[in-house]
Formats: sequence, C-alpha cells, structure tokens
Amino acid sequence: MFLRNCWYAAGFSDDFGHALTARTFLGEAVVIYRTEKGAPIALEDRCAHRRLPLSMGRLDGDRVECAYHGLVYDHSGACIKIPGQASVPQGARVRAYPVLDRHTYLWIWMGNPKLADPALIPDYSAIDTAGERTSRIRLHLRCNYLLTVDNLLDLSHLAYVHATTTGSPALAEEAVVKVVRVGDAVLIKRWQRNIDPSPTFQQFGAFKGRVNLWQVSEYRAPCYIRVSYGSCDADVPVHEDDDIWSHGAWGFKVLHGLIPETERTTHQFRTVTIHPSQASAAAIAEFKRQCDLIINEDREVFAIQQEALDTDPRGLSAWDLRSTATIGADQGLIQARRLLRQRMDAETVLPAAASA
Amino acid sequence: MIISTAAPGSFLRDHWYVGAWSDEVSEKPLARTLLGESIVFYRNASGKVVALEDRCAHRRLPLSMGIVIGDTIQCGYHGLVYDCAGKCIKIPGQEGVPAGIGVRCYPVVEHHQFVSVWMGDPALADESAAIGFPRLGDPGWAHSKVRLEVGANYLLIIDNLLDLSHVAYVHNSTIGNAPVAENAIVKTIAAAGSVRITREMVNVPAARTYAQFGPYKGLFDRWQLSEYTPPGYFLINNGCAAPNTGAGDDSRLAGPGEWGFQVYHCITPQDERRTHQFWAIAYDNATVAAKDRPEFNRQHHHVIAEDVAIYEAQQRALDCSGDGVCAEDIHSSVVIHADAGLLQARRMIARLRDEARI
Repeated sequence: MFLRNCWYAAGFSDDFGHALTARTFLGEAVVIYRTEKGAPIALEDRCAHRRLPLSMGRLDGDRVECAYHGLVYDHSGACIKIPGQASVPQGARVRAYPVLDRHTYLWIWMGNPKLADPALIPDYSAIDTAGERTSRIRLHLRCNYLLTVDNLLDLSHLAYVHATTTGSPALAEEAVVKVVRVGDAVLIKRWQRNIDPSPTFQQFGAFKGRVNLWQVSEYRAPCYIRVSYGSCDADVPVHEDDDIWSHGAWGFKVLHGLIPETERTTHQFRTVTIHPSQASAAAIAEFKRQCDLIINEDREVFAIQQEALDTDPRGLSAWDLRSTATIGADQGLIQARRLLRQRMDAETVLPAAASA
Repeated sequence: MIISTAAPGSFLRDHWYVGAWSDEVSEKPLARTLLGESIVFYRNASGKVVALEDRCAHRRLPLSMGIVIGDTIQCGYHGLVYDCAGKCIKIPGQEGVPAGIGVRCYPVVEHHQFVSVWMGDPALADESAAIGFPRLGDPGWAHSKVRLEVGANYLLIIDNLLDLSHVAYVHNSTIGNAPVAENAIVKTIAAAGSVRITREMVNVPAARTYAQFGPYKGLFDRWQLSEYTPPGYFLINNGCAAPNTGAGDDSRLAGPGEWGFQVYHCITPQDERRTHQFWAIAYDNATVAAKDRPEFNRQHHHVIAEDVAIYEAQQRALDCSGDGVCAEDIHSSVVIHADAGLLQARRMIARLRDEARI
C-alpha cells in the first residue's frame, strides 16, 4: 500500500531521453520518454489491446507504436491509430501520469492526475546550483522504501554501519537528539560535542583535535528526505536551531529521491552536494568514493532486513514497527510513520483521491 | 500481487493434443506435463509409443525416473513394473499383485511426426479424429520443426496466430512489412469445427524473406490463410503471385500460388502459465533450393522466437497487473477489427467447454 497522491522522484532528469524506458513504480508498469522537444511523458506500459508493454515498441516522433499490432498512442495516452481500420474505438487509451522536471530530478504523480499540483514538490532549489560539486548515484534496493526512510531518520547507525567513514562510536553514544515537527516536516537534529572526529571528517576537515559534529534529517511524507552534516573544532561554539543546517568548518548535504518499485523493492536516487570551498578537485573524488561506499553499506542492510521480514513466520512487513523493540533513537522515524499514516488515511477517505 | 487463475478444468479434455514429436520418444522415458498432468512417454519393444501417468501407484515417484524393460516400465524407487496399459504386473519381494494397482494409461496416436495424446475419457478417443499435417514427412516436401516451451497461457498464442496483422510489426525484419497490417483485405469464416481467417494484400512490396527466396523482388500479391481447429491446431498457408492477378479469388488462398509455404502450430497447455508449442514449417522441395534452406528456415525460427518473447511479456504484464486479469479476460481490453478471428475462436472454445460440462 502506497501514498498515491504525491510526487515521487522517478529518477534524475537526464536519465530519460527520446527513447522508451520501462520502469515499475508502486507496482505499476510505466514507460517514460521525452518528446522531440524534451518534454517528459509517462504512460501506462501496457497496450490497451493485448497488454504488451509499450516499452517494447518504438517512438515515431512523439508517438509510441506498439510492437505487436502497431497501435499508435499520442503523448496523452490516447490511441490515435489502429492499423487496418479507419477509426479508433472510444476508450482505446492507456493511462498517462503527470511528470515534470525540477531540481535535477524527474517527478511522477502516481495518483489522481487532477490533484497533481507542481507546488507540492518540496523546494530543493539548493541543488539546482550545486554544479560539479555533487555526487549522484542510482540504486535498486531490495527492500520496502520504509526501511530506507527509517535508516535516514536514525543516524545513530553511522556509528556501526559506516564506522570506516562518517561514523564513530560517539555518534551513537554521545548525541543529543531533538525531534521537532515544522509544518508538514519532521526534523531530527543531532549534536555530538567535543568528540574525536570520525574518519571522513578527520580526513576532509583537517581537524587537529576534538570536534563538534551535527546532523539534521528532514522528512516529508511519503519519502522526501534531506540530510545535512556539519562540523567544527571542539572549542568553537555551536549554535542550535537553524544553524543545524550550516556546514560549519566542513560538511555536506544529501538529498534522497525515493520511489517504491514494489512492496519489496525501491529505487533510490541520491545527490550529495558539497560546497566548492569544502573540497579540492582531488579530494572530491575520494569523498565521492566514500559516499558510494556508505550507501552500498546501507543497501546491504536493507536487503537483509527485508529478507528477515519476508521469512518471519508471523508474516511481517516493513509497516510492523511494533513487532520489534523500540529504542530512544526511533523517535524521529515513529513521528514520520505517523505523518505518513495520516496522509494515507486521508487519501483513502478523500473521494477526490480515487485514481482516475 | 493478485494472480488470477482460471477455474481448474478450464482446459478442453476430450481432445487429442500433441504431446511430443515422434523423434523425441525412445526407449528412454520422457517426462512431460500436459494440461497439468504428468505423463511419461516411452517406446515399447515393438516400437509403439506408450503414455502413462508419470507417478508410481506406490510412492508417487515419477515413473520417468525409472527404466524401460521391453514393453514395461519399472519404477526407479521400489521396482514396481507396469505394462503398456498401466497395469502393475510385478511388485518385487511379493507374490502376486493386488487387484486394481495401476496408473492411468492415455490413448496415443503416432502420425505425421506427432505423438498425439487423448487427454479425456479414453472411451471417447477416436483415433481418426486426431489432427495431423500430412506434409510433415512427405518426401516431396521439406520441413523444419521445433518444440518451444513458452512461459505463457495457451490463449495468448492462439490470439497471436489468429491476428496476423502482428507480422507487420513483430516480424518486420523477415516476413513482415507495413502493408500486412495496413493494406490487407481480411475475411473471417467460422466453419463447423474451425475458424478460418484470410488476409489478402494486393500489389504490395515484398517483405525481406519473400524478396530473398521468392520469385517477386518488388511488388506482388500476397496472402495468408490461418485455420484454427480446437483445441490448439493451426495451419497457416502462405502464398503469393504476380501483382494484381486475381484478388478476391478465394480458391487461391489455400494454395501457394506462384510460391509459398505452410506453417503448423500445435499448442498444448502445460498449465495455466506454460505451454508447449510444436511448430513446423513445410514447403514443396522446389520452393527453396536445398542450399538455401538453412537460411530460409533460420529466418522462420527467428520469427517464432520473436513471438515467444511477445507471449511471455504479455503473461508477465497479466501477472503483475494487480487487477487479477488473466488471458481468459479478452473483454477487459480494447477490441480492434483485427480481433474478429480470435474472438470467434474464443467463442468456439467457450462453446466446447460448455458442451463438455453437460
């Protein structure tokens, strides 16, 4: 079960060109392409006639021709030609999904198209100008997307999963954590003061001694997540509140584009941005390597968690938080789950939310 | 994911189905699933094909794991021996065999390269009703054949062969080009026991395979006749002639005209999602010179492989549609004119099913 009336990151904008690309989102087969002028189009990937995936067909200008009997669809999903007959019967169409490019991502609306308001995409304009100092990665995760959300809202895991890079024991042991609700977002703020820097911060921040580290995870339903990391020398005062977003002496920001593929698989499109003052060209290459190492460490954890859920005799899913022990560090993700649950409940009772 | 399954027993049972090519069956047991039933085939001492339930009456081990001894087959577990009629005639270590121990025996006809099996009530098996294609094995004709394991419901294959407009798109590197879909005069004739669809294309450019091997390199008249006989037999006749020579003359549609070939398909469900497709192409020896036959045949094997990719993609689309549709649900999708033939076939299958229930 997924939230449908929302924008999901379908990929990076430049993942899609004037060619048919098949994807599965929320269990639905979707074909994505760009028109000759570059406008993104997303259609149900299943011919209305014999259900062959349209992605097996070909583009003829901005139209899609099915590979089986040559039915032709325009970019609105309407069938406009059936070879060998003069007219097209009413209702011969496939579903069209609203899609748009924004903040370097392609966004898709899987719910009622009438509700697809571009203003509902969170403002991630900061990455529009981040330029070369970014590291992007596309991942196929063998897990429900909630496991990924959980992970990003409880950064105490850095101490254990990412101990060779961004993590050190102090990140779990000595963190002061504050969970706050700001409008429709949940913020999880973490400060670790006067600790030994973890390897990545030591390496790129060039610290001589002990440091202050801080992180913030920002969540919006269903799975919009932004994380910021900052650090400074231990004797520099740390201001709380909005300064949590500053990188201090050294830090970086991460934007996670997530979209469920099925109940058990997820696409993740991650962008790490680092301010040009924070890393030389030589250092950035090593930093990117560490970023990719980190996310693959997480990916492995997710797959193992999902397998444990799938093989549990109680028939668990990622939704079943209460079947496991809850620890203090879970506060943030519990709030996030609550927010998501409210949105999903609202969607099921909202008559206008019925999918078109 | 909701996976819909047609009701058990949705297959037509009181019919002959092709179970194997003749040359697949030897004195080594051959296991095959037809209509959800496990069957073991073997040749007995006199060369006759035997088809038995592939499950020992004792501990249910497939008999195909055993060995053939003369006319009999011996289970690979405790050595029970069955005769050609499926009757257990020996139980090692004991005197005599209790009455009634045996496995089901299926009536079999071997003809024109096929081993056909009667899947219904043996009392109704009429050997003369088994369908065969005499050109397979005719010394005046060449042929090439294959058995394909298709990961799709058998109805998706029947659909395909009754709407040959797909040749224009799926097979456009060999036997197809746009006029096959765009310029065909299509007629559907439901006879008593079959559906016959003809497609006639007048004064159209020859598709690659035709231009390469046939007498017409440019424009010509081309026709296809697809004849479906339930439960799963297809004869597809392909012919051509000089451009604008006798369009509308129905008598020419069943023959090769100036040049042509026939394609046969025997479709035997394995279960709801898997199907055996016995496919062959046959043509008069004069049609294609012996030296050109490997390439001519290769192009047609390529054609059938293209179709298999389609069937399997359709089945995957059905299985993950989330709305519980299956291949049976023809009316949940858009119907186009070219579907006239397959809709007739679906009706015919439904009628035969209804009759079987009475």
